[in-house]
Amino acid sequence: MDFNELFFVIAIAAFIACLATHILPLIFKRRELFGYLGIALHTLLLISLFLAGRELSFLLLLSMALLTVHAAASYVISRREKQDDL
Amino acid sequence: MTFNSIEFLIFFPIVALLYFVLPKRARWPMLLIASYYFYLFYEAELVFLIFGTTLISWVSSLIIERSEKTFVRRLFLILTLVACLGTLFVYKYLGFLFESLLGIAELFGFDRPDIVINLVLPVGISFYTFQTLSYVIDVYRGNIKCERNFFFYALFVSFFPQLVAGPIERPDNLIPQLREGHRFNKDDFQRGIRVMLLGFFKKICVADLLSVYVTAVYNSPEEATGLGVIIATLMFAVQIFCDFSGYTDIATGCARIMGIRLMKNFDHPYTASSIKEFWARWHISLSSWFRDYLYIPMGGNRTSRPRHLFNLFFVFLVSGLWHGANWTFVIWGALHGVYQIVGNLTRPARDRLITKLGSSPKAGGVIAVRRVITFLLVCVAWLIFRANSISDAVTLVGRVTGNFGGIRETLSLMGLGLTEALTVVLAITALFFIDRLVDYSERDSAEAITANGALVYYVYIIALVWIFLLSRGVESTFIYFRF
Repeated sequence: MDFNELFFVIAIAAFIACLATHILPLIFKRRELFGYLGIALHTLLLISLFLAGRELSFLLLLSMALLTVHAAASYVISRREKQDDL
Repeated sequence: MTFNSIEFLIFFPIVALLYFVLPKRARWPMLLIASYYFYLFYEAELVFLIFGTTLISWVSSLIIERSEKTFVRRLFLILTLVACLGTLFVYKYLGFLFESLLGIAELFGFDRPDIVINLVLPVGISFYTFQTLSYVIDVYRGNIKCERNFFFYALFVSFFPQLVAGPIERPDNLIPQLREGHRFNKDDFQRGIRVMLLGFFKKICVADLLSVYVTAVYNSPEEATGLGVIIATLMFAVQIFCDFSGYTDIATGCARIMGIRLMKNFDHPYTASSIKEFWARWHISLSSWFRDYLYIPMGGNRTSRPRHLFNLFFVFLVSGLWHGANWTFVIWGALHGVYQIVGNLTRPARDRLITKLGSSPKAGGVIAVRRVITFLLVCVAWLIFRANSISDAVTLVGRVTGNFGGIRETLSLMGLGLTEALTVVLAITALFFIDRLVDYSERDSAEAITANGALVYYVYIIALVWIFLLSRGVESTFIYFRF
């Protein structure tokens, strides 16, 4: 396994972990912890992809995908909290 | 300096900090200096125009208020209208009028002289002119009292968040708030930051991203395929909304941080189920300006039917012209006027037809169909609005009916690969959720965005897209700056 492949594997792992930090707040209530963990993993993902020699457009695509999941999960949580308030 | 520039990211925190640190009596002078500094960054040589407009409108409004003679009051109102609209005409429309007259003369076989009128359009002139006019007209009508302090009035005209692209504020909303000198409020600060972030996201992550592909089609209409025109027009509908409402969000957020609430300018316009409703949701500050200062004084709907329809058409024609000195804008405005007239005339027949079909005009399915039709009508008008010229617009329409083209060919012509296409779709999807979140947090006290460190996350993504766009050499200004 060369250097590029190694970083790409790390990036895949970071992507999956980051995805989990966005989805897990739907189940567990540690939103703040997951939030900061998500940012850290996203940073790791970007650095790994950069070191793996991937194009910026690919980094952007993955970031948008994660952001969409994050925003959708936040939206669901907000709706749920709103219903709880009612 | 534009909102999406490094200079603004340094300028605004300093101004906000000074606003809260300085004693109350020193705040508005500081805001005035900051506002003129902000404007000087754009066009130092044309600052005399905004100052002149401010001075003329302030002096006139003082005379209008003090005089008891109707003739004098009316005279100074007309003088102000002539001075302000005259300046707007010279800088914005004179070249256009001249070119149009030359074009007509050429049609009749006259030689074209070597004269070109090429005046620089001052940034924000349409916005601050309309804001000063609303002030003078309100003073004339006796709706508001005249502001005695010239410099304070100058702040109302030049308040930097909304100076160059609105919202076109009304004096009764903004002046009292500027005088108040708010204390730092954590809630206002958080909400302001949230709305600003939403604005930056709309502008950088959606509008600027889409502009690359829209420009590819609209700048080469001869090469575009019909499918490309349709995709680019749908993209432009999203782009112009994100660009303009993004600017408004940043402006509103800036003001909110300082405790000042600007008027709402957009209210989910693409969910409108009629063109009339669309205009009640799109660029609300301009639509309401035209309603209050043009449509109603012309008689509005309290006249004969033909006159009412003419009033509608005329207001939209002027609204089109307000957007710019180009026939595309005039036709765009006229088309919206025609939509309104046709909508008005056919409404009873449409309602009868829906009832005959066993449904109700207010049924969910009917409203959904109306929304889709309204959106498509708006998009047809956007095609004309975005086209560089009328001949380009005709070519683009011709491409839809003529060479429709395949998906692969179209995407390749637009420079839209799979990665880019997916990124665009995801960005729009994310926007949908983020917009809803900000809406929620505005209505309730739920701290939806700041709760889990997401604030940092959004900054992070916005910065990433910004770097991406900069790396591709995408120049970014706000579309409405040209108006």
